[in-house]
Amino acid sequence: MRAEDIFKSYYRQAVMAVEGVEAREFGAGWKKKIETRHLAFRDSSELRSYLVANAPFYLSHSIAYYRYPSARPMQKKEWVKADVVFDLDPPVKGKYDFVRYLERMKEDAQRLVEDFLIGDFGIERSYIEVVFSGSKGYHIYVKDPEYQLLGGEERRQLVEYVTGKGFKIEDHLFFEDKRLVGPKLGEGGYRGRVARLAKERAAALVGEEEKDFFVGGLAEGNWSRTSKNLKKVYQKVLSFKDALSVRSVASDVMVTQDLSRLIRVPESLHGDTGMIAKRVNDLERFDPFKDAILEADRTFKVRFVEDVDESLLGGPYYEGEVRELSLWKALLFVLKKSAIFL
Amino acid sequence: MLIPFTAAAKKALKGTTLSPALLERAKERILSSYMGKMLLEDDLAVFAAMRLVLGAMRNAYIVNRIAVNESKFYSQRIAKLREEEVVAIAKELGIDFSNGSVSLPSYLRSAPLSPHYALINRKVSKGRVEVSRQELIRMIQEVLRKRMEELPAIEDKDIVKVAKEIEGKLLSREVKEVKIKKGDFPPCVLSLLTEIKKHKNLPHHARWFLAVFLVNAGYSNQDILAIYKNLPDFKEKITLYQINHIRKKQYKTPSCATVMSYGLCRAACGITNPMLWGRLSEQKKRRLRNAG
Repeated sequence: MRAEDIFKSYYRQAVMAVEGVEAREFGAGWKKKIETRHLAFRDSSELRSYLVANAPFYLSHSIAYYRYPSARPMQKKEWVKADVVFDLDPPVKGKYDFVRYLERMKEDAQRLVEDFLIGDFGIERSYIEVVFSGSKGYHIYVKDPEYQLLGGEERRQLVEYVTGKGFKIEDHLFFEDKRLVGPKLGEGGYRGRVARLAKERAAALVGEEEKDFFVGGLAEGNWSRTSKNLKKVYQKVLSFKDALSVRSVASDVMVTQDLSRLIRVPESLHGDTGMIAKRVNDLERFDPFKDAILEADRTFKVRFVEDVDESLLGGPYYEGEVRELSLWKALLFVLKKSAIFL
Repeated sequence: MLIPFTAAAKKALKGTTLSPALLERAKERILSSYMGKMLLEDDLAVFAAMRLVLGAMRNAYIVNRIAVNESKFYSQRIAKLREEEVVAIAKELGIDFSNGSVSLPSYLRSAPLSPHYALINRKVSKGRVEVSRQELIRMIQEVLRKRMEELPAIEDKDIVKVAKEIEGKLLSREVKEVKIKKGDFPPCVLSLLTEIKKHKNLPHHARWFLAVFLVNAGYSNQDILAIYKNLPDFKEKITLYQINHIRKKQYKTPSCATVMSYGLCRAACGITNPMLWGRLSEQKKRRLRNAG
């Protein structure tokens, strides 16, 4: 058994349904993410033929739609528009650390979609597409036609907004005649978000018995309705910082401003994990280990070539050990070079 | 008064032909506009003819400088209009304003680049961004400026001749070449210098940050002036005053967090102040520069 054969058989039957397949540039790689790019396919069946014949471990396509997606250099492709894509990408270090981040990433994805994209930006749900990255994070696509035409600088503003880059609570909450004055509950944007968070956490700020009285003041921007020391309240509010934004959104300029960047193709297999970059319909119920894995009606025998101590994956496993595992686990350990197929 | 790029303006221009007299007036307008003096005329035909000449000239410095001045001129006029007239002009320029707010995409396209307008500091809700009348007018000015910088490519021999003649006249008075002393700059500074090279109009805080950085990096007034000369609205006296003010007050280069809040950060360098750039390894610098 070879990983390549598993990829091939997956692509033989997978429904990729890439939107605008004929207008996107594709890139493919075997040892690394992109070894060849400027590929273009007329339709889904042409894409499938390529995938079955070549079985790349990594498949990406442009966020952009071009008139001539295979043309080179880039200018000759004639850029038409590009999806706005937010890349939720946690800072993982070890080979298997990503499994510990999946829950948090899901929460971040939910917050990004509900609070920011729908709440603040007013984007219609039907224009938002959530895709599990196949490994550690999520890609959130915005396909609203008006957003697809935004330039790099404008996209940077959106990313800075959701990551909270440059927002200081101190600029919006201050003392006036020994009273604490700040944002009101009903306000939009980050100001309103600070006030709403203060309402949610009122008990921690001023105590259970005073919380209703305190929240009553927030409606008018009065943050002083408490007998507690206001300086201490102020300090506690400053510590809200981390809860305000979605910090795991990749904010590298390369990612946010590049209108031609390539991103993993939804429904393709991730070469580091063998998991599917699955489109997610119901984020709340989505479980990568159930919904984004390859299944087979038999088990696969592997021999471990190093210790793997990760209980969430059924570990520990020890070097030299031979195990019968389900397809997805066997594939994961083989691709991570912790085991070999027997 | 007709505002360029609106339907009414286009309608008024229909059937206008470029006469030698019109070309002559366009020439005058370029010269005065370049110097920041506005000819008090609303003749849109002259404006259109000016664009043809500038389109034939293709000199980014002159074009950007005129775009800055002309857009200011129009926004001063717009500021005197009634609310519904301002809103109508905004709408025609792609800024969808109603009930004290604009749509988020139109805000992103039209708001000037400054911390005041950074999305993060705005009231954003359900796809609308609150803006005041004054801010709306500033946004109109910004759109006009950008549109004025987009020019038709003109190859008509007569117009090119006029264009070259004016270009020669204007540039004999000004430094046209960008002289930037070689240096090892962090991506945020490098990006501003690249913008200046293209004669882009930098917002105030960007100019301030760059000047403070250069002063702290040991650049002389002369070096800094040579760089700032390339800004489309450069005024030597004011620039010099500000550089000296920075020296007198001994302003330190702002931290990366502040640079970030200005919207000027261009790469995750992993340092806390742009001045610490020199401590990074050459390899890391190269990677970050390519990213930025």
